[in-house]
Amino acid sequence: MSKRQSTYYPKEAISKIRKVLNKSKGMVLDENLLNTVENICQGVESNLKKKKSETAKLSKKSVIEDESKTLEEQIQEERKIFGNIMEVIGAGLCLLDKDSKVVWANDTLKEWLDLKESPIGDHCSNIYHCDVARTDKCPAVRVFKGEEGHSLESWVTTTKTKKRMYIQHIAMPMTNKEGILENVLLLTVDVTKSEKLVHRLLLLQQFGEITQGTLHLDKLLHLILTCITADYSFGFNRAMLFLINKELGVINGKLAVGPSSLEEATQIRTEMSSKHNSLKDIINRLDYSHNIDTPLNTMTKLMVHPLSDTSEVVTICAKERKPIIVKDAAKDKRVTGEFRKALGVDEFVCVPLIAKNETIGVIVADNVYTGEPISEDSINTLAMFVNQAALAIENAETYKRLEDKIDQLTETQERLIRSEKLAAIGSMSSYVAHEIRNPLVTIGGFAKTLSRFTFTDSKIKTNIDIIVEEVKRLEKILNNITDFGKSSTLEKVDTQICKIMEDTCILMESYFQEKHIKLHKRFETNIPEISVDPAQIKQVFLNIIMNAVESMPDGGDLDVIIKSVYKSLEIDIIDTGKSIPQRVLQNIFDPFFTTKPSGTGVGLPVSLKIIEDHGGNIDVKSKHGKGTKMSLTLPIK
Amino acid sequence: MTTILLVEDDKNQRLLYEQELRHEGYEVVAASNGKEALEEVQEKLPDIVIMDINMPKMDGIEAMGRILGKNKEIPVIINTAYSNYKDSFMSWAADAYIVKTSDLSELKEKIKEVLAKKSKDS
Repeated sequence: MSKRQSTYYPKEAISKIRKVLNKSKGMVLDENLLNTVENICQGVESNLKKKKSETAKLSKKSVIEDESKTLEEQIQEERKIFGNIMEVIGAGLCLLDKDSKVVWANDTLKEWLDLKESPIGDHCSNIYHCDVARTDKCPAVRVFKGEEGHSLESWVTTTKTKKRMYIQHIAMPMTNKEGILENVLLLTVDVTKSEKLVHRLLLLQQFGEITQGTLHLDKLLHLILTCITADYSFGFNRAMLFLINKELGVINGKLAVGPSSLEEATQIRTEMSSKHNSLKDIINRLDYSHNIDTPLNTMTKLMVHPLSDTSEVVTICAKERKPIIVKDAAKDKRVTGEFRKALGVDEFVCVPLIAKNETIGVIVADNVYTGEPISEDSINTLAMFVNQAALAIENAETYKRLEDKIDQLTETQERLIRSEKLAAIGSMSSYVAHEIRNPLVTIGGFAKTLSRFTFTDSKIKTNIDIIVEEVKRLEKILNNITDFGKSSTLEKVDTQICKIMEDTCILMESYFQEKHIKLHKRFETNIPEISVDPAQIKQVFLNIIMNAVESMPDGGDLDVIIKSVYKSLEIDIIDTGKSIPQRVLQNIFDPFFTTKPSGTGVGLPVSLKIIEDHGGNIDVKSKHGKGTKMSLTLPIK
Repeated sequence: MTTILLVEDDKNQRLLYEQELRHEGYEVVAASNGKEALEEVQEKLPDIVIMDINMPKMDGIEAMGRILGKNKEIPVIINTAYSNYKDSFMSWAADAYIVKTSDLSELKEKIKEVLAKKSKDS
């Protein structure tokens, strides 16, 4: 308003003066004065005009300035919004020129790619470290060529957070005013989450498919833990599996998978190919020996908790049948100091293994090396996976039980066949033996009566002696065979096995000396008495020690060890003699099988029969050049 | 003189035992099966019986049972080629159990032992 006033005021004033002048034309005498005033008015008017046009010019300029200022503000505003958006999206941006050189890059990208210096001017391959640079697979190259398919995915590791990310690069064309393609904008997006999700689902599916067929239990347990620790799926650093033993009422560590140290963790990460391996590849690549002796695995296997102990997080998890996330083990009352110390980590998750409505174990997983927080989301998928795993374990266990039963059955069958064979051989041999024994008695008996007479020819006496001796030998063989055929009842009494062994060794002392055998006895103290037939057991010891001595014609060492192992006694008789060849080893318990020139081939079968009648077993190990180890086991109860 | 009743179906063996036992100074009466043995026991009243088991007509176990049924004072020694009768409770009734061998010294020893015991008991 004030502007208008100032513009109109002189004009009005002048027209007022003009009016006054016109009116006073006749009245005013001094024409000159009037003319002067007239001139002044004209001057003011022209001046006014001039000023007016100047003012108009000026105001026009200020409008332009105002506009550019607003535009600038707008640009700033938009840039701010754009920056915010970029930040929210968390995307990396990079502008490339036609030579794939970096024109500009944002901070997110610099952070992700771990760039310490400004990348401007660098070739893109120097900062992205991708192996498709300059090839047709490069999205930027494709865009410059005007092709479709402008995205590429790859794994990167940001060293700052040690987080492995799955990123997607999307190339977009940027044209100039004339519509000519000048630059390519590379948009880099973190798709780790969705990628992981996809793989988890894929994993679940693959796992389901694979476990539909029955797997070996050990292999399955390994597979489950490998899935949990696989970087591209659940990505936990370590996973430990505990299984419930219902018989003993405990939950104990079975297997653990994961690196034992930070160095190992880094190494494994670098070894892992960026491509997501299919589960089948993992199974084929599973290397048991690698993981068996890791400190982590050993530690896990040593962890046993009674199910009744409700102060331990694994037993709580097994009882409550819900996943437990421990955020701070030091403050969490469910975690004992011992468990925390063993794990060496404050944040971990326990997930119960539930199969057919029954808890069969617990899986514990943590991120001890990366320290990455465990999200609700990952636990949910983990729980889903673990449920499936539990079913698979249950299946494998059932299968294993079945397998054990089949093994038992086969063994029983074999034993039956052997004992039937023994029985058949026994009855036949005893028939033959008796048929032979009677005439032998007569021959030998009469031959002996002859020795009472005196002969002029000394040859007759010698010949008679030969007949007598040979008959004796035959009778001895018959005794062995008839003893074998006989099914005697066991006369079991509580016996100290060490005593029997001691007696046997004393009995053979002179024999050992003669054959230059050094005897080493190692009897564990506190060997309990067991119920056996002492005479028969002594027979077994004699047979086996005799064999051992015979395998050392040039002398050697004989170790006799008695120890208690779990619910049985183990008696080891170890020689340093000629070993038993593999093909012979298969037959040593077959009746009448012998490699000895004067053997009857019943010593070992009889020994085995006696030990089996006592509920025990004989195990033979023979190594070429190292001798033979016979291990007898007898049950304590 | 001590009379031994020898029950043995094998002819040659019987001959052997007769010879050997006579050489030891015993009077030997021989029977080739259980039935004959029963008759001889009635007739000759032996001091001791040496009994084979596997025999035709009547086996040694049955014969022993019948002999002991009539006169349980007569000692019986079982002399057989089979060792498995040792476990048969029927043979427990015998005073001794010998598995036949060409070496007759065990048999001779047992006869002396059993006779000594008999004379001590009576």
